[in-house]
Amino acid sequence: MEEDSTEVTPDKISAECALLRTEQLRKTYTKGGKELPACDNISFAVNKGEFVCIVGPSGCGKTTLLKCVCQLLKPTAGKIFIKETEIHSPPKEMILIFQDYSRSLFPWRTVLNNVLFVLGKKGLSKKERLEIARSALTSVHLNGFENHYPWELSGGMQQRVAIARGIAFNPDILLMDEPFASVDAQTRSDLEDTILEIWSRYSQTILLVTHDIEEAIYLADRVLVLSRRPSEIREEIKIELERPRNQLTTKEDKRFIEYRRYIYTLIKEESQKCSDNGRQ
Amino acid sequence: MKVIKRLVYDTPLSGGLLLLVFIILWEVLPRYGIVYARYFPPFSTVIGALFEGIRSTEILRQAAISISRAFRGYFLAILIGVTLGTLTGTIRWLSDLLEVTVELLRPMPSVALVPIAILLFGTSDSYNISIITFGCTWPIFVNTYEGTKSIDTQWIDTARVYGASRLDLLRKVVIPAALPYIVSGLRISLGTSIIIVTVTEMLASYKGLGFFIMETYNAYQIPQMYAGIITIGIVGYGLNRLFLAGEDRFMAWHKGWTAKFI
Repeated sequence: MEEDSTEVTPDKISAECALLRTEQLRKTYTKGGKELPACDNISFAVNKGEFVCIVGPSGCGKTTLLKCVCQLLKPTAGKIFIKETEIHSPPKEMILIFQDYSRSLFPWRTVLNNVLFVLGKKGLSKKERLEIARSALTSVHLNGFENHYPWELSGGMQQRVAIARGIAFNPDILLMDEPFASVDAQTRSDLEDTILEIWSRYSQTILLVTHDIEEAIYLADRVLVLSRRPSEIREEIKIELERPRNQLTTKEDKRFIEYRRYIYTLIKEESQKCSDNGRQ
Repeated sequence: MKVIKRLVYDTPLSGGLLLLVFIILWEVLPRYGIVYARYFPPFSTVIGALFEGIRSTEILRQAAISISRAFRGYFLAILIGVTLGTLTGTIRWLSDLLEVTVELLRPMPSVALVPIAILLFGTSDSYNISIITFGCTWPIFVNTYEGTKSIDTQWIDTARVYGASRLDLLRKVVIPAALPYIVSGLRISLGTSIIIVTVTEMLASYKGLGFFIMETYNAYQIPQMYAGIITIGIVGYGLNRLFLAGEDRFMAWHKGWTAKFI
């Protein structure tokens, strides 16, 4: 009985206890005296334990948005809260995993040392650090590659190292910027399943940005659809598909196909507007 | 052409082949009076003088003095070059401040400063060392500057996301990422240090291999003079080999990485 009452679903969580919340986030670039807005009026919340995906037409400023959320870029306006505390510099509760693994892993460090890099500041003993790093590598199925250098591994394996590094740090929320965009299709679906495994095993909270509609539906509890540039949140879609999900059966589900049709239409409309604007 | 090609590829000594020909000519030409043997004594005579110099420890002592001067100047240059290079590479206003001065000083031949150094230090070791340091600092400085400036911003972003402090950023990201550049500066400067130590010793010193070469020249001890020159050559070659071996060991990641991505 007690277990039932402590079980929380995203439904039951009210907006006040959102883990991450943004309020009217705006980012504009100035180029040659002109203001180029990248995103505008972005407000959303991610609850603890939730898997949220953001999809949008290509070039709509998805990466900019994520970099603003974790304060690598200063937003022009708007606020970001973690557990209702406003943040102004990269917070230790949040980790961003980049699309380009080859430029975010350190090539002068072995796989194990890349993971250990993030554990220096946590006041752990050497033994504890090694244990955490090893178990993080195990959870992305990379045991046996500790002493390789990242560039000795395939692209998919390198991204696994980057993910292991992220979960070893044990953040409250994991941001991912098109993490699977630079790998082949087979590797991609393997990585999707790995990330789902990690998400459920560590009760992680994940905010993932992608241009791939199917990927977003497959992974997420909720999908946020961005509009064209300057991007706003056009629509929020709750994905009600059972978990654990399966690459074949989930993607063949009638509802999956409905979601895909719906989101595809939304995005198509947005990119249509974009090219209409271009013609004017 | 074909014969030379086959000789180069089929002989076990292929790389040393040209050297062997050179040594044979060096031996034969003076013996047959084709070149003047007093100025160009045969190879065997020079080697005899070299072994005599080693046996009496004269050449070894002079070499030790030169190497010690070169190293002291070189290490001072590393300290200055890497520090200044890192600072200017990472702090924008500092590089703007220093740019003009550096660009004016850098092309100046270091040996042109010999008179100033003698005025300041007399003929003590500090005289040689100061000029070696001046000449060796530039390649290290410029390479460190380039390396730290052109560092991939995503490495920095990654470290910032994981909460790295400024010191950690420098120690664990900026310096290792710039290391390939720094190392190539170090390699250039190592050769420069040997050149400058020799020249400064030839001009105004009473010890060292450069001095030894000039002294034997003035005393008309021609085989000994050649022995001194050969010793300098061996020292330079040996140091470079040592450096390359160290580079192979510690920079292996860079070789593998560039082979894959660049």
